[in-house]
Amino acid sequence: MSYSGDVIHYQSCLQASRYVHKLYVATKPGGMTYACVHVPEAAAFEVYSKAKMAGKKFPGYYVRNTMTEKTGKTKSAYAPLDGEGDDLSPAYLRAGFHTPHNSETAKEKAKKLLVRECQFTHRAILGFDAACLRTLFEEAGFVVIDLSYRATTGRFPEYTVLSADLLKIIARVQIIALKPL
Amino acid sequence: MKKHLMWTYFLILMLSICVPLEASDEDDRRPPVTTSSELDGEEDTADTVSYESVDEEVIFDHVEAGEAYARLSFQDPDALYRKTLDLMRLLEGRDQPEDYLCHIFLPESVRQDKEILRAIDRILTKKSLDSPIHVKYPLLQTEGLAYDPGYSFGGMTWLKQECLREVRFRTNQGQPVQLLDAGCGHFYFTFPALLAGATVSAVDQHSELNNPKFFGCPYEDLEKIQSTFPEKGLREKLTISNTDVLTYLDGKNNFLM
Repeated sequence: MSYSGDVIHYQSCLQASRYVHKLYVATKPGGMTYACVHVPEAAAFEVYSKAKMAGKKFPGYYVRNTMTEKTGKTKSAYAPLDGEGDDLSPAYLRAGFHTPHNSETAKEKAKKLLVRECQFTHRAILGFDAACLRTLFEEAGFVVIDLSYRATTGRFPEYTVLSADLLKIIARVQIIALKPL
Repeated sequence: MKKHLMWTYFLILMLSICVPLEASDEDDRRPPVTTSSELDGEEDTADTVSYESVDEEVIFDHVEAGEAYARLSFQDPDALYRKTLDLMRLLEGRDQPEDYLCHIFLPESVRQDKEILRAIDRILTKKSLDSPIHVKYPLLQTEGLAYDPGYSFGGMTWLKQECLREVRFRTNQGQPVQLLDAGCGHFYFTFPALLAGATVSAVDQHSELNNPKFFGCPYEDLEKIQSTFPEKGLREKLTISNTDVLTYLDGKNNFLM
């Protein structure tokens, strides 16, 4: 059995496919696998839906470019990433501002960092929808037993059509799959 | 006279709309709308992110826990009593240990011991740290501080419960369970899985993984719990690997059962 809690979306598209395949090989027949991953951000819904319409395998793979002004005002723009063969994980692609931990809250730290007029951060994000996660596991050989969205209001079924509003309350997409005997 | 009354009703109605009433207890228990980026737990410079809400994931899990309990009541003869008890606890408010729910996955002998249960609660309800960790990026040949990977939150979700239920079911059937906890973080899922009867390989990649202070629970609690499993020590059933999951799975065939 295996439990991959919030781990697959830290990998690149290629790595994610490799990981699930390796998981399949490592699991004995009859073994189960459980996984939950992030969904695309609500603000990036347009980018996601365009990529989905274009038939991309990983429509939730995009970059978030954020500009933060000294006043604290933030603007974000999203752009799709064509990363099916990308071998660099979003965790590596991230560039943010972090300071050592002290008693300050995250908000206070963020304010302190605003020393310049504005600053830019770019962060690659790999969000999954149910279809994308199903493809990933089925391609590896797993049989999907349960696939659903975890939201603040409970579970949504796999066939839920995502919208920007829905993505505000959906936190994860989760899967239970079996390696057949 | 009728007109006068109508105006009074109208005024009362307008007042009730305009003057916000004090939030009732019921409102406090309502799960907040939390985006996935907030749940991510990473520091974000966007002013739209509520930093105070990053630890709030546990709240909406109550809803799922209730659902899971309803289902369990059909599978476990004792569950009806515990379900009632737990739902009462859930209704009491958010600071009840939601992880109490995973007690049902513990062996019967452990469930009898209140002190052990309290120790388990201390482990499971411990919050994750909101502090960055030192991360090396070998591909980029740089290093720095980051909030990810490996820092996920504690709490008990529907998926975790389903996984624990399967572990318990298989161990009750006499099948040994070898479980991979990929991206184990602070071992929030590792310990419940161990307690449910699995032999766990916890894998994550960060420099503090082998540091005892990093553990999501105090060692004395772990010792206390371990004493209830004299025949097979928990520590012997736990393997920790500080590597990325892809490397860890290299060359491993049919070992997860």
